[in-house]
Amino acid sequence: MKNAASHVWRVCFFVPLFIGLFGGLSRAEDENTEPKLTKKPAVVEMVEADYPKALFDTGTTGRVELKITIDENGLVTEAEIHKGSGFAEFDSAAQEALYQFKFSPAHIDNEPAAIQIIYGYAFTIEHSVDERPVDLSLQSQPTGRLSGTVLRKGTREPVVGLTIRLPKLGREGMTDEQGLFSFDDLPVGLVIIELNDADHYNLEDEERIEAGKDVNVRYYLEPTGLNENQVTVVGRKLKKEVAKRTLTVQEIRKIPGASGDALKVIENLPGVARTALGLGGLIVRGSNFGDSAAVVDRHLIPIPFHFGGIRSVIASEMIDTIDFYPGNFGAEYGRFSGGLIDIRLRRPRSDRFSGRFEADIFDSGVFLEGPLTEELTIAVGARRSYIDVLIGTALQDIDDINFQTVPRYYDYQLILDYRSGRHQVRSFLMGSDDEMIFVLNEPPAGNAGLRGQLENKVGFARGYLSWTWRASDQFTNDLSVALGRNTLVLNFGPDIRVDNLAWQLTVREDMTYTVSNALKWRAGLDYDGFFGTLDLNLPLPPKEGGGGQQGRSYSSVDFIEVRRDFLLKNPAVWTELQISLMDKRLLVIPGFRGEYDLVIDDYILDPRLTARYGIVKESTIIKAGLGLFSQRPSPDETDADFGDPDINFERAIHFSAGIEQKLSDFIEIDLVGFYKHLYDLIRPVDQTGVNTSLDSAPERRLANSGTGRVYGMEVLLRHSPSERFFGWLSYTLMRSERRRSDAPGYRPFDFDQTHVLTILGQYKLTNAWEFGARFQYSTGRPQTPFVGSVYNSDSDSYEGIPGEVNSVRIPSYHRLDIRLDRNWIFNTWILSAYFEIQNVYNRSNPERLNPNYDFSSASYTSGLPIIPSLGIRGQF
Amino acid sequence: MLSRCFWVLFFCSLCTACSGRDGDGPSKLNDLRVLGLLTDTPEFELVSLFEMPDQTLAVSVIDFHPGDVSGEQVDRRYTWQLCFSLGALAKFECLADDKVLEMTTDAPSMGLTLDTATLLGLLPDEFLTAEQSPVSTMMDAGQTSDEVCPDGLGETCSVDDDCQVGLSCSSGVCEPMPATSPVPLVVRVTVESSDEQVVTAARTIGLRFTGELNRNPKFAAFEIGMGRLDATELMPADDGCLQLGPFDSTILQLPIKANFDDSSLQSYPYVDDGVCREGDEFESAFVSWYSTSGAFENQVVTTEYSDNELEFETPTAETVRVYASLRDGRNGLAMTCFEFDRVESQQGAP
Repeated sequence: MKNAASHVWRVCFFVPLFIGLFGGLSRAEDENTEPKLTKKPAVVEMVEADYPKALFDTGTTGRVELKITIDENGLVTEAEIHKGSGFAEFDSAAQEALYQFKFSPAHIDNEPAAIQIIYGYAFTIEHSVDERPVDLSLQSQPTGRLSGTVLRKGTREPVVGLTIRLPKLGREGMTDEQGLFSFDDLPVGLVIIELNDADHYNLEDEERIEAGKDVNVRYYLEPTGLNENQVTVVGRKLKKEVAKRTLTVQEIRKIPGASGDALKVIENLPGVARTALGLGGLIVRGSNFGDSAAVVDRHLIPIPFHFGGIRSVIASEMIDTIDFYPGNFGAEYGRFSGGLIDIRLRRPRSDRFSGRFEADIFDSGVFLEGPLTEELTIAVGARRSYIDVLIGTALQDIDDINFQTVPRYYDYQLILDYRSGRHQVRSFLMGSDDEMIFVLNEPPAGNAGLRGQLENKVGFARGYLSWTWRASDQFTNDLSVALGRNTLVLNFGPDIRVDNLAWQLTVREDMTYTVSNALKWRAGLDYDGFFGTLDLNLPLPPKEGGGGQQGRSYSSVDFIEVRRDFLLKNPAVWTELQISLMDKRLLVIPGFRGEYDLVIDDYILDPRLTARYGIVKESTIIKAGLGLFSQRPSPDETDADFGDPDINFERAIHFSAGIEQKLSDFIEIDLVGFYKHLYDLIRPVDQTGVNTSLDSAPERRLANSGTGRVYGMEVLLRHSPSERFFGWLSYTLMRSERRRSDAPGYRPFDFDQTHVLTILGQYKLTNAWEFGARFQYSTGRPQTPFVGSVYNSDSDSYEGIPGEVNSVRIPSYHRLDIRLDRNWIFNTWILSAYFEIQNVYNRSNPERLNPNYDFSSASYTSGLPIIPSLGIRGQF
Repeated sequence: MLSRCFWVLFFCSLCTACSGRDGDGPSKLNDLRVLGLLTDTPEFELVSLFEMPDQTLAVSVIDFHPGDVSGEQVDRRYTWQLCFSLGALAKFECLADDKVLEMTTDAPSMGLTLDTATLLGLLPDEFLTAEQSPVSTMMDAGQTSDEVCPDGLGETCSVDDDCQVGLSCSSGVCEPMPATSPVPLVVRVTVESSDEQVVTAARTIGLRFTGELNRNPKFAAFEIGMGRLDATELMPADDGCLQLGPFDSTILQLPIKANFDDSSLQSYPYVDDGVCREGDEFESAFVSWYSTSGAFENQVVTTEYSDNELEFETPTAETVRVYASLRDGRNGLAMTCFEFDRVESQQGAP
C-alpha cells in the first residue's frame, strides 16, 4: 500500500457563448442560411497535462479556463488563456496539453465546422488509500456495466462533455453529444459516482453493480447559470452593418417592463425614442411612424404589435433572433426609410417534444414543438388575451365609455420545417386579430358630433413557404413566398368609417455565391404586391407636424369618402458584394437596390455602402455606412381622393460611423454617430386639407415638399449574459427636425427627444431567485400649443388656434420597473413565476398636453400608474 | 394598408374622446362666454338676394357674464365682422383681409342690409376675375335648377352636354352644382367686457342656390322637476331670462328635459356620391345645456336621449341661470334661458 496522487481534469463547455466566433473560419457567416449548431464538439482524445512538480509538491491545485478553437477536423488550432489559474505553470501546462487534444468536430447545419469554446482544465491532487484497482485479481472477478444519460434538469437537454468519475475505482469517463456515458468491467458492489461540471451543481451518487448486468441510470443536473434557453446568436453572424443590435433569448425573457415579450425589448435599445402611451409603433432615429418596418423571415408583416404596443404579434418562443437596424441596413431590404426589425424564426426542436405555457395579467399562451420525423419538425403556438374576461365587467362602464368588447387580441403561429441534405423547406403560418368595441355615451366637450359606437378591428394572416438550397459550398439559394390578408375596420359613430381588406403577396429570391474567401456576392429579387378594397369615410389623417389640426372641432373636419378596389405592385432588385481585405480585418460591402412602383410609375436606385475595420481583431472595430433609402407612399397617400396620385418616393440619406470596443469578455461598448438627411417628405399642400376650389376636381392634397434632418449619437454599453448577470446601458442623444419647403427654418419633429436613456440589468441571486430592474428616461416630446380659440356657434364647439408648431415640450419621462423571478427546477420541467412592478415610484408621466374645451388652459394626460403584475411559466 | 396613418388616427380619436374633461366643462358658466350667434334665418336664398335686394341680416349674440346673475354691471363692447370664409375649416378667418365689413356696437346685436353690391364687395378680387369664379358658379347654379336632386342625376356622361340642364359631368357621372355655396358668409364677433375679458365667436350664414331654405329649430317645452314650461311661456335668450321657482335647495338632483318642436326639424334632400339621399334634422339635432351652478349629467343630449339632470353638490341658497341651445346640425339654432332661486326652506317647487 502506498499513497498515490493523481490529477484529474474537468471539462467545461460554455459552447453557447462562443459559437463560431470566427466568421472567416466558420460557415456560420452565411446570413442567408441561419446556421445552427447541430452537434456540439466532444473530446475524443485527451492528453493529460504535466502537473508542475513544484506545485504538486506543495499540494497546490488550480483551474485554468482556455478559449480554444476547434477546426472542422476536430483539431485544436488555437488555445488562449481565458481565465488563468494564478500560476503560470498551470496555465502553460494546460495550454500545452490542450493543443494535443482531439475532438469530434462541431457540426453547424449538420456539417463539420470550426467553433470556439471555453474549456476548463483543473489540476487537483487526490490522495487514495488504495492503488488504482487495476490489479490482476480483478480480472478473475465477476464484473458488471454502468451506463446512463446525463440531462440538464428542467430542460432535459443532454449535458455534453461532462466528466464522470468513479473515485474509488480511479475510473473516469465523459458524456457524448447525447449525454450518454458507460463504464465496462466494473467490479461487483457499490460504486460511487461523481458528476462534476462548472455549469452545473456537482452530483454524487452510488449504484450497486451486479455481475453480468448493465446498470442503466439517468441523472438530472441542476444548472448553476441562468437556466433559460441559452442558444444565442451574439457573434454568430458575420457582422457587417454599422449598427445592428442582436438580442438573445436570455436577455429578452427577463427584462423588467417587457413581460418577456421579445419585440417590446427593442424599445430599450439605442436609437429608439419613446412613443406616446397607446400609440405604439417605433420611432427610430427620428423617423416617423411607418418609416420603420418589421420583417419575419424576410417578409413584411403589417403590424408588429397588438393594439399599437401591448404585445408583439408573434410569440417569443418562435423567434430565433431579432436583429434591430436603426439605420444603414443592407440592400436586401427596402421600401422603408427608417429602421428595420429583422425577426428570424427558429427551427423547432429535432430531438424531442417540448412545450411551454405562460400566463400573466394580459394573456396566456401555449407553445409546443418537436420532431415529426427525422427531417420534419413542427412548432405550434397560440396566445389570447383575457383582459375582456378578467376585467371586462369592471370596464363595462367607465365614465362615459361603455365597452361592448373590451380590448381583445389573439395570435397564432405554426412552423413546419423540413431539412434533408442540402435542402430546407419551411412553411410558416401566422395570424393576429385585435378587436375593441365601445360606445361613447357622451361626446367630449365641444364635439357634439363625436359620439356613438367605436368599433376597431385589426387583423392579418400570413402563410409563408420558403426553400433554401445549398447547391454547393459556394452557392446558396433562398426562394420564399408569403401570401396574406390584412383587415382593418374602424367605425366611429355615423361618420367615421374604414373598411379595408387587402391581400398582400411578397416574393423573395435571394442568392449567395462565395467567390473566394475574400469575396462574396449576394443578389436577389423582391416583389411586394397588394390588391384589395378600400372603403373610407375619413378626414385627412394629420400628418407629422400637424398637431395644430387637433384643435379643430369635429364639426369642422372635412370628410373624404373613398370606395374602390386597388392594386399595387412594387418589384425590386438588389445586390451587394462582401469584400474582405487585409486578412479579413477590413470588410467592405457595396450594395445597390432598385425599385419600381407601378402606382406612381417611377423607380428609385439606392446605392449603399458599409465598411468595418478591425483595428484590433475582434476587440476594436471601427465602422461606417452611407446609403440612400427610399420609401414609397402608402396606398392611401396615392389615392386620387384621399391622397394624391402625383406624389413620389420619400428619400433619406443615412450616414453613420462608430466604434465597437470589447472591454472584457463580457463587456463591450458600441458608439455610433449618425446623420440623416430626409427629403421629398410627403406633406399636405395645405395643413387644413381644405379644397378651396368650387370646381369638383380636387386640388393637390399632398406634395413631396418636406425636408428633415436627424443627427446624434448612440451608446450601448452591454454586459453579455454571464453566470449571474446581464444588462446594458443604452443612451441616445438626438435631434430630429423637419421643414416645409415654404418654411423659413427647421422645427422639432413630433417625437424629437434629446435624451433617451435606458439602464437595465438582471442579477441571479441564487439558482432559484433572480432580480431585475429597468430605468428609463427620455426628454419630453414637442407639442404645438394653442394660443387662442374661436367659438363655433354652428356646432357649439371651439376651434383652437395653434401657435408655433412643436414649440413647447411636455415634461420629461422617467420610470423604474423591477422584477423578481423565482424558478422551480424539476427533473423534467421548470416552473417559473415572476412578480413585476412597473413604474415603481408611481411617476405621473405626462404623455400629452390636452387643452380644455375652449383652449384657454391645458392639462397633461398621465401615463400608466404603478402596475404590479404576476406571471407564471411552465416548460418541459 | 393604411398602417402608416391608422394608429395616429385611432389614437387621436381616443385622445379627443378623453380631452377636455379636466376642470369645469363647457356647461359651467363662470366667465365671459358666448353661447350662440342667432340669426333670423340660418340661410339666405341667393337668387332672392339678387332679385329682392335689401333683405335684412340681423344677428344677435347670446353671451353671458357672471355679472348678469350677480347684478354687477359689466359693460360689453361688440366688434362685428362679416366676410366670406371657409368657415370652421379655416377657423373662420376671412378669405381676404381687405374684404371685411366691420362694425362695433355696445348692444349684443347688429343688423345690416344685404344686397348684391354688399356681397360682391366682400368677395376677394381673384374670385371676381377667375373664369370659374364663385360668382359665376353662384349665378349659374341659381339660374339652372331649382332642385337639389334634378332629373338625370347620376347618369353616365363624358361631357357636360351629355347631362340635363342643371347638371355637369364629373368623373363620368352627371352631378348637380352644389346646393349651397361652398364659401359661405361668416359673421365673427369679438366680445370685450369692461373687466377685460375677451371672447371671439363666429357662425356661418349659408347661401343657398337650390332647395328649401333651412329654418331655425324650436323648442316645444321644458320639463323641470315636476313642472312643465310650454313653448308659449318661453322667451328667446336674447330677450332676457324667464324666472322660475324658487326651488328648495335640498333638492340636489333636478331632472330637466327639453322637448323639441318636431315640425321645426326639417328633412331635406342632398346629393351624396351622385346619389340623391334624404337627410333629417331630427337625427342631427342636439341640445347643449349651460348653468351657472351645479353640473349637468350630460352637457349635450340628442333627440334620442334627451333626459338630463342638473346636480348640485350642496344645499346652497343661490340664483341659478340655465341656458339651453338647440341646434339642428345645419347651422339652425334656437336658444332659451331661465333662472331660478334655490332657497333654504321649502317655499314651493314647480
